[in-house]
Amino acid sequence: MNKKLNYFSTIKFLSKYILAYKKNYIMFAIGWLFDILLKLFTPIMFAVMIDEIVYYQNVSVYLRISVALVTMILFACIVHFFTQQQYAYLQIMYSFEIKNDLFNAIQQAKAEALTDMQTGDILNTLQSHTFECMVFVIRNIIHTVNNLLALTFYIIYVFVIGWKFGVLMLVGVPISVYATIKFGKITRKCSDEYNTVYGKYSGWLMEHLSALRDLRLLGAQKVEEEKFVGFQRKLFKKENQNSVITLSSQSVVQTINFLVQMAVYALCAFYACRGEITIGVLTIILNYFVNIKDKVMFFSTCFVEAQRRISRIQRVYDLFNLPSEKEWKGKDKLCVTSGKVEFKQITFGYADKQSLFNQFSLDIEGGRKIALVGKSGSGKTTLAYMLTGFYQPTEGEILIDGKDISECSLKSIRENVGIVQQDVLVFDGTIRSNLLFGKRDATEEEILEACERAGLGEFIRSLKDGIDTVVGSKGVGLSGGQRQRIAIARIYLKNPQIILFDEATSALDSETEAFIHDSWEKALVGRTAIVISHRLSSVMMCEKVALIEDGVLKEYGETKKLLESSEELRTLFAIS
Amino acid sequence: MDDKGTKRGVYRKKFANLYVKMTAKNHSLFLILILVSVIVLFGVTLTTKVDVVATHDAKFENNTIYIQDAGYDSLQKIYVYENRNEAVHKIKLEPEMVKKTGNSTEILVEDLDFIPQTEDIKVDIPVREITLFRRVFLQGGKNE
Repeated sequence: MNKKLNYFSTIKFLSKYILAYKKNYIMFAIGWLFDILLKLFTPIMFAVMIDEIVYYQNVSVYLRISVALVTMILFACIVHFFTQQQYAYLQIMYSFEIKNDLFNAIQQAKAEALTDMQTGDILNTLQSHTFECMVFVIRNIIHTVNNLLALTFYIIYVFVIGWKFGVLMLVGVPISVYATIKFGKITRKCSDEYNTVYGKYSGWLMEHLSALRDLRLLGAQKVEEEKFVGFQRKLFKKENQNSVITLSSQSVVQTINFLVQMAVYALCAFYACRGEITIGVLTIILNYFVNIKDKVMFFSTCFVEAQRRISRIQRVYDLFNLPSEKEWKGKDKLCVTSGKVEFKQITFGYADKQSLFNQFSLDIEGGRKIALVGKSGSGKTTLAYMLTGFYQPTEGEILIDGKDISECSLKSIRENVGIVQQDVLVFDGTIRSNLLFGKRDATEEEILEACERAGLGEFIRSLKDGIDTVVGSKGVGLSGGQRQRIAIARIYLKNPQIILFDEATSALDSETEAFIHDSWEKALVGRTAIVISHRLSSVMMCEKVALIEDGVLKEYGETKKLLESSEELRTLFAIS
Repeated sequence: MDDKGTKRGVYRKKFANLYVKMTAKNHSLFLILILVSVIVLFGVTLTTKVDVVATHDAKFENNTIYIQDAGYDSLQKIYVYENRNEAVHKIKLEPEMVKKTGNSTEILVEDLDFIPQTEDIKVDIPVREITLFRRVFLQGGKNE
């Protein structure tokens, strides 16, 4: 559980990205400060002009101040333009940097840390909540500091002009601050609740959209519509709560400001009637009061908004602090010769669940094909993921050619252990770019040879653009068999000594499966293969079979012999 | 046409890079601009002079203004009024019109273009000049 962010810890968390562009931030702050100072002095210049022309008909001084004022405004416009350019630049760079780091953090997060997270929620955090980080930096750090400075200057000048006005204007500030802090706390609570619901909603929506066809087949549209409406209702309720709190907070501060405003107007009238202040000074006081009022309103709104923002930044922070694969201690390079795999008395369980494996052991000889079979949830895939370093056993060790993989780097483990799954990942792009995931620096000859050996040669030759044909949602659609062959071609290119097949052919028809098995036979010569399957045909191509039930090795031996002798195995494959 | 298009594209890209460099990446221009702005601001406000006006209670009797609490040797102009927010009258003075007696001043004004309703009036006297810089930045716009 990560720590809960507050205003200051959020600044600390985001400061890393501020420091990366500190010069730009300084420039932006200077530009903004210049702008504020001009806004501070412009009313005073106006006041002097008014007094000089209204009372003393001093046209020459009036014109000279006018020139000074126009020059100042002209420069202010140019400075403002540059300041806005800095803002735009920082906005782009900040979002880029934080998104980039967050993307890397997600990529490096441990598999078990991502298990319970929904894709929609992660997507939302990466795309939308990172933007809030930038807004927080600009609005809640830089603008707050500058406005605080501006407020200080305004108050000082009001005291210089007349201390009674200063005292009167400050009377409402403590009450406004108190109300703002109180409302801020409630806003944070509501925002946290809103973001939790929104995260769940995003995740659900993502799943729903990717399974539209299945849901139609199941006739679940009505149920899904009810869920959608339910989410929308919850979100509306939370959003409504947030709006009410924000508006209430603003109303309280505005009411206080209104009362102070009346008092300031009355005091101005009193002194003006007595001839103790000029029209010019009166305009300064009224102008400064409006500015002080605006600044107090800004702090109030900004603080309440910040609570909502921190709630979103918290999700970015949580993603940043997911347990990472960087914590993997192994540094050695794994060198595989025969491909012998040993699971030695391993114990493992998913977080907050009881142990799946308890002192589990299994030896797989190098260069042999072994089938892992068992009911769903028995732990077959978990074993495969432990072998690739996605999960680490809490006790025991996994050896490859006698080397404990926990001492080896994840990079070298994954170079030597390939995995082919049921859903072969095919990105939108050319066949070539998809195959290059197997080996980034593969030559043209290597790619073509891999395609031929995987049985893709004929298919590629039938395409107009050959290997440069675009596949995926924006190009040529691939069948399940073709996808499997893409995976096998990748294996040829990657050339790992140990290959895991996780339900790789379970979605294929018997004819295609037979073709794929042919390709496997060729690809697996001299390699260790671990085949996880519920299909007898896939099991039959393996020399040995291991039956696993609830994390316990029930049977292990020669495939043919075991299929004859083991009642459990025969029941599993419905062999009479 | 394609060549022209490509060239234009290259120029546009170069211009865009230069634009980002000058406005966001390189801070020299921005700093120079701020510096020039500050210098111009200081220069203009330091070279512009404004009057410091002293306000006195005075009495108007027999075409003479009596200032009881201040003695002035010579005055070039004064501003006379009963209520400053209604009307202020500027009077140009010659040296012989001003007479200092101790800590009070008598000003003889014969051709006044207004007649005060009461004998109690106020007089604004420009006593010296200060820079606009001082008036704006140090005094917050107040006269003194």
